[in-house]
Amino acid sequence: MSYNYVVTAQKPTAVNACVTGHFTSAEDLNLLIAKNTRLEIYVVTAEGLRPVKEVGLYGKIAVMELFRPKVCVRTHPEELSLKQASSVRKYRLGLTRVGDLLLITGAALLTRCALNSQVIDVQFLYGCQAPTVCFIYQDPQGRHVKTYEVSLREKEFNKGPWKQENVEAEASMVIPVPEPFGGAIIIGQESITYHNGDKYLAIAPPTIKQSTIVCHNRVDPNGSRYLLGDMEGRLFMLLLEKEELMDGAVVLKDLHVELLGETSIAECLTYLDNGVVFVGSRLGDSQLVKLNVDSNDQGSYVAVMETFTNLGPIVDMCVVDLERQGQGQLVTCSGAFKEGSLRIIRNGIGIHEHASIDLPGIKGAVKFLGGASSRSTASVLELSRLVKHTAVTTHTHTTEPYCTVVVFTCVCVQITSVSVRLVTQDSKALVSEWKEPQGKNISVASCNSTQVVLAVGRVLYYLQILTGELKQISSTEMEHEVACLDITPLGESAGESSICAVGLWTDISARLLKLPCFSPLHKEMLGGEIIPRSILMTTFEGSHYLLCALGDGALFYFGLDIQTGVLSERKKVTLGTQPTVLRTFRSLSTSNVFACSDRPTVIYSSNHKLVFSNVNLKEVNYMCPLNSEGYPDSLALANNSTLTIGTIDEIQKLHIRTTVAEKEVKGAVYSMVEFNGKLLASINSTVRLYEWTAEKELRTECNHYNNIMALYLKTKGDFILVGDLMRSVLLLAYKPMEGSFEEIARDFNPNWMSAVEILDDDNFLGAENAFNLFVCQKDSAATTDEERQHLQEVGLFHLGEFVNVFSHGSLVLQNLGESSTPTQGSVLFGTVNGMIGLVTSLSESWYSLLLDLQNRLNKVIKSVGKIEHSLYPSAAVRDVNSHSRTLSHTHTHTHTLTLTHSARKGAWTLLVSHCDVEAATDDLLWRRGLSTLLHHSF
Amino acid sequence: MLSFLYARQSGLDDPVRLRRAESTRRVLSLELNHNRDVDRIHGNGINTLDIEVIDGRYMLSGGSDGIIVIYDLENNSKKPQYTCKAICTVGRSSRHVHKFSVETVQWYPHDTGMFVSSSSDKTMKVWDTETLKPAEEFQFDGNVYCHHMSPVARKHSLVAVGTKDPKVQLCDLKSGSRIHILQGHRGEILSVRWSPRYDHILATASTDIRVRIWDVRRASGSLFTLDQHNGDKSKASSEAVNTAHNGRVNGLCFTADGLHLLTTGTDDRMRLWNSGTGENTLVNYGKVVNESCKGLKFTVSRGCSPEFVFVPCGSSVAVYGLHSGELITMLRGHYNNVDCCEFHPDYQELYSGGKDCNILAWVPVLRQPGIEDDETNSKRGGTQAAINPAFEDAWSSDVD
Repeated sequence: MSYNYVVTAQKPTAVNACVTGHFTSAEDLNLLIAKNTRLEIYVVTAEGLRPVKEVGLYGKIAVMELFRPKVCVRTHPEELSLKQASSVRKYRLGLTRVGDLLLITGAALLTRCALNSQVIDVQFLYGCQAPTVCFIYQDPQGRHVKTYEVSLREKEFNKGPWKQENVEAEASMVIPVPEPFGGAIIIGQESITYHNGDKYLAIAPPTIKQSTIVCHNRVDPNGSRYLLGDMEGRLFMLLLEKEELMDGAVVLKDLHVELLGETSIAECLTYLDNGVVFVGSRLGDSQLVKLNVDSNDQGSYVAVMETFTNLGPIVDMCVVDLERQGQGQLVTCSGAFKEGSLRIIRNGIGIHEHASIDLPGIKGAVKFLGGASSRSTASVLELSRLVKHTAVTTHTHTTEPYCTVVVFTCVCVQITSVSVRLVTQDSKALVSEWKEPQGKNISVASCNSTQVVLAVGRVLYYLQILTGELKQISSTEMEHEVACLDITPLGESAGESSICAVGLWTDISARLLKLPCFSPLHKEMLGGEIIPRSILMTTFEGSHYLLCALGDGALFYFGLDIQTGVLSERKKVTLGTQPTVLRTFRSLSTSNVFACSDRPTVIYSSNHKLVFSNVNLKEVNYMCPLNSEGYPDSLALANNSTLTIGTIDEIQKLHIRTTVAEKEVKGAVYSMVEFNGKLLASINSTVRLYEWTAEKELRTECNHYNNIMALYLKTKGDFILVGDLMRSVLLLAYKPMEGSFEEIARDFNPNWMSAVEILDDDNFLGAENAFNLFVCQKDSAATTDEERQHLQEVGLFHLGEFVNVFSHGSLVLQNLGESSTPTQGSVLFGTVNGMIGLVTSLSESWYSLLLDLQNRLNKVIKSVGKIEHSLYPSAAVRDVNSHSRTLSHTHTHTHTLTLTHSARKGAWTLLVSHCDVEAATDDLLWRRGLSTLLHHSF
Repeated sequence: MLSFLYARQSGLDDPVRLRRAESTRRVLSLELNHNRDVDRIHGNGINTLDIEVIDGRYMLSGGSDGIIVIYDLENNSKKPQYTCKAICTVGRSSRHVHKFSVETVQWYPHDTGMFVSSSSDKTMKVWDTETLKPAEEFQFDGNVYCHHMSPVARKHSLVAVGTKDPKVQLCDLKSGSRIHILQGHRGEILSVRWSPRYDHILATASTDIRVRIWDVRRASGSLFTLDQHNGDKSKASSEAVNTAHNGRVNGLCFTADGLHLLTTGTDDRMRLWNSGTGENTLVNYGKVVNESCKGLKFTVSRGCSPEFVFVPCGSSVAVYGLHSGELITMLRGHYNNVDCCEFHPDYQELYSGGKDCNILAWVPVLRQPGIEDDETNSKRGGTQAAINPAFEDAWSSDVD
């Protein structure tokens, strides 16, 4: 029996729906983004979008609307009176499923009207006495618009105020218009029309004919402006021109459409505030764009402010090891139409090398502000000057500088083993110097722009940097010798730190002291015998941390309270094997920490969890951030011999073109694969093997015909796995002697396949139309011919994602000693929504442990919307046959992952209590009025 | 096809769309295929067929000779062409065999371990598939024309039975007893069908030219009677009020979603009804020749868009658009009248049985690669290449 574990490497990135409103509190302006099975909640701030919460749902989000149940202010555009609010509870249920309810009832209604038709779009109208729906439907004659009133008492639909037969044949959207206009706008392929029963207004602007409008969003509450997005990624503004009549009534005078500019191909649009629009995309990257009053040189009113990477739809992908470091990288074919791109995804962070110089004997690198931002001098010059400068100083004093920190714009502090010197930058003149009274050597020091703390053996000195002077404020003697210290200012302390973090020899402790008095605030024993080599206070996503790296590459990290200096949540992680140096830098306006060692690592925070990411460099001893005109947002990295300047990248885009050799065939070639030096292709229902002739031409060697449509091919040795359009998978063996194919076994389930992969000689992985993964097994030991011919389905897992491609490989280095995984082999998969996941084999004992854990977690975690986890996979059963199958894979939980690292019995209670808190928050969010419509795969 | 695949791959279309489109294409290309045969076992006309939905693998047939046969539809031949083997038979040699014509056979919807047959010998038998012995036998006063078990019911296991008697009988498989009768019809009951949507809704058709819809939870009469004129009195004579057809109603079939009901009558008409309201949708299928004096077993497609109806019509099977009423094609192949047909939703195949004792398989045409391409293959000669298996016999002598 084979046991497999499915885990998400990259959550879905394609945006299905988005909505803006006051969700987390009445003051917060929130943006809610639906990404297939996940919902992300952001707060809109002046600085941009700040993530608040991300929740997973056991279902796919089909439609999403915001409403406020308690006050009943505004639902889906319908106004509810306070009288009706008394029955909110009952009514809310109907509303939360408003789209669903309407579509189902709508269908039933149409059946009653004896219309053989389908509903295209449906919306509530504004300004009607009774709630009124307006919908576009299609029957054999064409498309029509009708309105129906909802009778709340009888739960019935009654004929509405108006209808319009034979609207444009491609009419696809209804936009309800608020009062004073009322009525609805119908968007078609070529025209935009307005109806309200009395008035009918149509325009056919030539610009919209080029493509199809797919989404819309109202800009103003009074409904005078609407954003429209089309399939080419163009953004339009639809303006409703009003006219005041003699009797004071305001009526619609005209409609205007204006092209604003080009964005990603929008799936949904939402207007945030101040001319900022979120463009949610499924086919390309989502964007935050600003609508400007004036157009730019290209005539566009749209300026992109921020881009949110989307990998979907991942149509194909492969794992390569470009840098030959034993770490796989994934190249995906992402996006569609104009958004098509190749993307490289790797675990860890890549450094783009921009420049490097060989400088043997580099001991350190420092940040040199030096007004580089104001001067045009290339930073590299300054850097070399700095290096020279340091060398000069070193020469003069015959001591090595420990730390040269540049303060102010024209003065720099240089700390050497004998003294602290304040030097003017231009003239290199010494302004002030501080020496230990007995002339002892300084062992370690730390400094920021206003303070210097240094240690001489066990004694700590605190200096303040004043204009033209270094002033000793206080000193204290510690119990043991000081190994490392840090005074990075945190919080809003304006460049001054009130805390000093110190790591000591001998008792191996990390301590926090108050400045300037050096009174102890907290003492943390690190244990072991390896001394702390680097200590650092930093802030990630608003939380303060203390990081302390040891001489053996281990790193402790704690939560830090900057008021009291108390440490909490102690955690340990191994980064490398050599002494580690911690340095901070900023990238994309978030702070990160670079851990320099034999395995350089970038530490950053994601969703308030620290993430440790390997960097594609061999060894880094020192690092310092660099930001100048020549090298914006760069890092200077030094090892024993070289200084490198580079930038940290995220996911890169590449554009590559290739050419293909050709051979004409009758029929469509769905798949091609190299097979024993020959070419294996699937052409319609045939699997065909081509061999190369001496003339380098392709000649058919053999065929296999027994398929409906052979869409996918995978090979291993002489075995071929064929994924059929609708007949699941088939295993073929190639007989080289006879030059023919033999059918070995077939899965007789009617699965409509979307991807296949060979896990090993006996196990085969498939993904199908109803968003499931399944594993089939060859039963070689079976006694009868018939049993041998059957691939047994041994596992079914509902993923909720449409898998396009499987690929053997892994993104992780396989030699991380400590957390070696109990799994075998790994297959990556990519989906339509940009999700990347991993399927890996487990031993039976691990499988039972994880399954048990999953079951326990499901008892504790209350799902959003109270959708039982068990319902999720069962809802996925193929729609034609109600096959009942057992779920024999573990369902993925991020929580489970946390556990696998520390699979001790003790972790159970801890983990479960942690989940409880999270679940409670989820529940709260739900109660605050999340209306999410769930759609179970059909 | 490529555009559908691309749209599915890039997420432009719901994956179900490709499935529906391909299913539709396949239904439209149904033909009598030389690659598929069904064992000929029956010595007399075939009245009824049923394919189980658990694996979609086994098919039951019942014949006028009283014989019941189970076929394996799965292709284990490793070749495109194969014969669906009869894997077991309740033949004349069995002492449990029905004495007269088997009118209806149906698999137990939730398990292939059991099936139910009813016959003109006034019995209905519940069979154990393993032993092929009846686990239960119900005796009736008259010929049993039809029976049906709900495909969706989990709470009850009622079999609705239509006999010569105007009362519809409900037999409970759990207790093995007749527990209820539904009174209202005035003629023989020719067809009974449970709704695939609600487990308590039953439709019955009778020689009294009426179709009644029942809620079996209610003791009093039927919910409503289908009216071909939708209540318009002016169009009907007083005795024709609330009639579904102007002749005996001998066939019923719900659509897969249960929202519509199709009926056939000896007035050579087929009608499509809204099953919730009983409204005649007035889809015009034209003349649907119907000479059967017993029940007619017809079927609808599933998973296509639009859906299709397959109705036995003389010696052929007529294929209509369900909602358009358009006659799409006539599947001709039987030598005598066709009495029943059954659609295989997994592979869009149709099986039909007729008085000529044959079961014919109607299989979608495959998209084959071009002939020219194959010619280059045969030109090679000498080596044994994989030749189109259809020609394999002719070539086998060449092999050295």
